[in-house]
Amino acid sequence: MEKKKILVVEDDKFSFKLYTHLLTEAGYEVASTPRASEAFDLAKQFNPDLVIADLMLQDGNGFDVIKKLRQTEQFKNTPIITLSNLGQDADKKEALKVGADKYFVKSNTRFQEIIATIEEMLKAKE
Amino acid sequence: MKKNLLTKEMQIFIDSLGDGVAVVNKGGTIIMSNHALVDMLGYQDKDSVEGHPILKLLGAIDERGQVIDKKNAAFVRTIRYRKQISNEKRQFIKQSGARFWASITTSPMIRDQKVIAAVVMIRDISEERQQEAYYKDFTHTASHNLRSPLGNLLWTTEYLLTQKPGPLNVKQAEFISDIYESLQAMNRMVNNLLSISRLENKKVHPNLQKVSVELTVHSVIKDLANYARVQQVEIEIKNEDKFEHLVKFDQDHLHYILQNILENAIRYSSQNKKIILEIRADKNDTIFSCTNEGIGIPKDKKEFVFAKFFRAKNAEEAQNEGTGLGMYTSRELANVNKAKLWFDSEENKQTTFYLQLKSF
Repeated sequence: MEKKKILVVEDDKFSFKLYTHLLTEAGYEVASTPRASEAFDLAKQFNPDLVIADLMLQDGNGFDVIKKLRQTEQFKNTPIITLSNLGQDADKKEALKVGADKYFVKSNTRFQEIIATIEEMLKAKE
Repeated sequence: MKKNLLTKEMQIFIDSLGDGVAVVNKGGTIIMSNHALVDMLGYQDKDSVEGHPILKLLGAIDERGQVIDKKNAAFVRTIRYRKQISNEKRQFIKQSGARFWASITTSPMIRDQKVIAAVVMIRDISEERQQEAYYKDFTHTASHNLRSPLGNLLWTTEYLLTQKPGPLNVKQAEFISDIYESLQAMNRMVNNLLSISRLENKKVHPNLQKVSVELTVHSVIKDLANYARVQQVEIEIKNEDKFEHLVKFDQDHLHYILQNILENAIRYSSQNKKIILEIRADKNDTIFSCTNEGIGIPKDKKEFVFAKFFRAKNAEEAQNEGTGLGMYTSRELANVNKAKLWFDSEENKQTTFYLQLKSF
């Protein structure tokens, strides 16, 4: 069976390494970038089944990345999870408004919960 | 009038004060001032200040940004109600047009049992305000930046505990579990600091909606069931069959407050005791209460229970968990939702926390 593909947009080195490892071990094919500017081109090329995006990136913000993906036919129905350190209601509302499907504050969420959410979202998409 | 009001010695005394002072007559005209006030407002001499209407001269704005009209001016209330008004915060205007923050205190000047004027004392608090703003911003930024490494550490330890990267011996598993628990405690602290920072910056706007108290109570009990088991404490809901109480509250805030009350009740209960939860209501209010038997709160520490970073000595000795921020945050959240939070306690016997909410 072909592996499901996940695109990770995250600029923190430790998180980047950790997500890639945990998702790969959970059986997904992972492509990642730390740059907002590269995210869209990588998504077009990689064609992910699901996207995980941070909101604060070194060269831009995740809101714009999500917005651009949602405006593109190819990613109109691709599940997008936001994993951020921003915990304010306004950030969550904004992320959901621009097109994220789920919003998690990383330190308040167990990674096994994320894995379970990913499975659920991919199943719902099928 | 000025000469009749003050002796020369009094005028010298007032001029020696570091805070701005003005004497205002019933019509609102400044009839006397001191050098500090003149300097504070950026004028050259007392003549630029005296003889002018105080409201126009100061151009006062309150903390909500509303222009103070005559009816609400502190000196008017002082004269009308013959009472002192203390430390109200205002923004005043200088001659240059620049605004500054000040604390204003007004007292009635009484002669022959009649109020003849009001004494207005003004203290420049711009610097305090700046420091406060810096502190609040610092707390927010620092807490926020802590979340990123904390999240990584929590996830990594959680992953190690799954033993997927390799088996752990008993000691290794125990130490990593300890690390995980400490990280969770630190995370609670950061979350509390962020909540406080938002509350103090008035950035918390409750999403008032119809919320079921009993559903929230059950959700909180579910979250804390494991903790109660570990602490060997039982939780009982009294008169549950009557439960169906809807209140006007922010769902997340209610969950936070109830969780904090119950978590403390579990933490400071004696083993093998029951925690009793009860909900009573009339047509206006719903009162939730939580009673535990345990160490209680010492009499001389009761006034500090809702203070920031407060933990009573007997609480610290009993449990090293707890941030000292939960009760402060809960009280603040109760306030923004127009609810009341209070307690009764007897040391080494029992404690009851009450939350009074507006029924929907």
